Amino acid sequence: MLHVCRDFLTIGNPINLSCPRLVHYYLAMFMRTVLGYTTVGQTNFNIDGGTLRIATGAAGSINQGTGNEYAFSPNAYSVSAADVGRILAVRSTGNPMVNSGLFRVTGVDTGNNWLFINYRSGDLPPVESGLTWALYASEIAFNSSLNFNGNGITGTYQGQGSATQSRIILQSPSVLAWQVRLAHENNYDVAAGTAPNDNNIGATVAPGLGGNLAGDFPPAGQHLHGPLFFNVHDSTYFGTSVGWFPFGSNQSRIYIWGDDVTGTVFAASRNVVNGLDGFVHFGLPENEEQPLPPKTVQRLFVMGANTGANANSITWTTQVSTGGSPANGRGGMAFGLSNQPVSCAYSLYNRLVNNAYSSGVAARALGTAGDCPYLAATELVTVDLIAGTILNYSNIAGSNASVIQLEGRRLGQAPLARMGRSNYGYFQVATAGAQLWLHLNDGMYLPWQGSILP
Amino acid sequence: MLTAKFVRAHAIPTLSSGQGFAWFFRLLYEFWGFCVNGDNSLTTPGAAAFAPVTGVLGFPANFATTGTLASGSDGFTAVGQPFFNSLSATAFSASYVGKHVVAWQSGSTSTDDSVYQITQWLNSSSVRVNVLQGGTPYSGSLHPAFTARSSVNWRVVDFTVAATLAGFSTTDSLILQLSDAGNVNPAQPSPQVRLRRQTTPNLEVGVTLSPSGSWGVHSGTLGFTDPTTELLPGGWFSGNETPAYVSLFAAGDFIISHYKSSNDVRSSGFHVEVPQRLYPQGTDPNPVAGMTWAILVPSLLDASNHYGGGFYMHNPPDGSTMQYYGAARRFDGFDNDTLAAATNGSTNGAYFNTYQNKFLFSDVLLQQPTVQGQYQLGRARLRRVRVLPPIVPQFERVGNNGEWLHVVNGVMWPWDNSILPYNLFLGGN
Repeated sequence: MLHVCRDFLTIGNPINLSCPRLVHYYLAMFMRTVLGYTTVGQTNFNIDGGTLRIATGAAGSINQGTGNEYAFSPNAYSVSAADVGRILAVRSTGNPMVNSGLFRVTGVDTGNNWLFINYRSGDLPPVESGLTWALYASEIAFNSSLNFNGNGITGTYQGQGSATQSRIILQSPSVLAWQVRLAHENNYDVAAGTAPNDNNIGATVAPGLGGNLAGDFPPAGQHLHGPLFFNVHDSTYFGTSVGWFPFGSNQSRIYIWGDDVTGTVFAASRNVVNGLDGFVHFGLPENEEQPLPPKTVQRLFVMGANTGANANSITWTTQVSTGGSPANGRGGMAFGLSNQPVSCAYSLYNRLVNNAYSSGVAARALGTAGDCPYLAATELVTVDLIAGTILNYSNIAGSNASVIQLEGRRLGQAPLARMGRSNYGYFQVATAGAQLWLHLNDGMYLPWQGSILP
Repeated sequence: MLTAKFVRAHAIPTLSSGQGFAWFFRLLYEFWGFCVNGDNSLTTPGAAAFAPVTGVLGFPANFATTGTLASGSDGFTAVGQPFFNSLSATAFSASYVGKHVVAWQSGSTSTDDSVYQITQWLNSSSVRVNVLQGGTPYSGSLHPAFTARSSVNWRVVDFTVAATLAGFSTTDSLILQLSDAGNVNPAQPSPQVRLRRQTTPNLEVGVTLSPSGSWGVHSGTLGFTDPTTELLPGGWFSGNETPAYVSLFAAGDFIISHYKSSNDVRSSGFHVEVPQRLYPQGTDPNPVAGMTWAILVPSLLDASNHYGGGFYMHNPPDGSTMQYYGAARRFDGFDNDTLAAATNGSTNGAYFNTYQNKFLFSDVLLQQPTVQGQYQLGRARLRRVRVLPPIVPQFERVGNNGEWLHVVNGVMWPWDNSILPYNLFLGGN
């Protein structure tokens, strides 16, 4: 079942919290409460502890009638004025694309014991009860809990073991029990290009298996974090870890799509104050290539920001140093049949003839792009995920050495997202067939339901 | 039947100008009419092969019969052998050496259904043929050989005599039916394609598509009601069209022809198929796509020919004959990159996975994103071609079961996993 967090507004200014520090908090709340991920282990990222998770329940209800449509009744919890500003995570099985998600608490009614939420839509919430929910502390508490200290062992990836930097491993609801590590990287590793961001403000997202209580995968283990796998402190490994990094943004609008069967997630941030948009996309492909590879980890992928040079934004382009030098590209990682991390890229249909159309313009970006006359609507096509075809990720230091192996392999279809014309409105809802789709940017479309705020 | 059948490297000897082309059309008639679509008639092509009304248009009066030396329905073959046999004691004459056996079974999916040159007369019931021109990959060697079959229909054809008939004209046409369209796309009627033997001003094959299969007499005139603009690629030959080698690939939903005269280093041919429909049936009921080329080596990088930009389809929204561009999966995530531009070298590992022993390859979508108001990212998916970075040796078999053959420049056509002891394109690319 697909759940969607529609347009959560981060705390942002005037508190001036750096959004790249916070996006993984939103991700963890959504994954934990809405998608049913479980916690494997963590260090200074205690998403289940009382500091961050104030209360939980499994019988909440939303829409208490006329005039109180945005009131949420949290069973077995007494609301108070202190709840204002907190974040309510809701899992809906009846309306998972509108009533699921993260919602800011904007007021309380202590008499009725209701939380009033910012529903972030022009639509009224469908009346629904029996909702699983969790009330989380505001971003201020999360920000206060963050830690960025490595373990001090020089020459290696320091963000492991006795390191106190904030990190967590969550296990997906998939029968494959794959896991994902969210890690706020430390200065030492970031300086070597380990993390896709500036010091102390971003984090990596690495699917894998075999996480421990500290929130680490083992070096040379089954996961998609290059520096941890190779256990190195070396700019040669630029680009081999991937994260969600809305560079420079102080406030963003957060959109998260997640499948509670496979655990697959697509998350995007839309900048409001300063900075850039960003996204991260990870999990299991759809329509996987058959026969399946021997190991579960060889089926996983992550796409997002992967070097300090490619300050994140939302695009289908992958930043590569072989075959071209696109600006503002993204990167991705998968796990090879060679049993080590390899690259991952979005595989779109490109024109066979060199240089696309009109000197480098892709079909999706042509000025002639419009509704398809056969559909009388926006046409969307599937995108594949290809592992092991990129030897180098271009980065701020130039081309890195060939540390990731070439072993081209189709993983399957990129889940959740579709590709269409890029001149459709930025963060506007499109009709394509029987389904509404939200166009983010650059022709990247995700399933949608209902209206969207301007 | 959707199972592809083949004529591999069929040799046309040196003939007078025009006669090689006559041979080619008779070969098309025999292969499409009997091997691909034949029923149990020994004299009439299968009912599904050609348009019911004058599906064999023009041509000299005896086009279909001249050169037919013998026929029977009692053929039999043994597995792994190159011998074609008849139960009849008087089936084959010693004079048949050099002539061709057309062999088929009604409803068969066997690639034994093909056209074979007789290379040796053994006795009046048995001949040795060049089984590599058809056949089925023999277990072990994968060289084409016969399988064990009986009650095989057969005709012995002297193409030389057929080619020397007088009376060919520029209107002579075969109107082929793609009768398995409904097995490709739900509820699709059988489209038709007219292959016209144009002689003036150039010797070439004109290709006209009819999505609805409308060939017949309409208001007193023979023709289609929904024809696409005829594709005329230009002269197929820079000199005499013979000697030449012809390879044909066909099933009930497609036909590909590769004709290579020795008088140029490049080939001519066509590719017509019912592609997979990607738009709703209501708005795109009858997709059929066609492409021709003349004196060109098949390519992925040509913006107006072959798979880069040489396909045409009827475009119902505006009624035009629309040019379509081929689009394939990129492998490195960069918008400007095409797999067709990959070069042999240090990045070969990106396209060949040594752990799987497999090449990466892609299907091809037909798209037209450049016409205002007709924006189409992927109207149809070609089913009878795959493409791969041209780092792969020519004539490499690709796919889990060798179901594709890298013919040249990254173009892969349907194949049956056969290994030929020589290059398929004996006369060149």
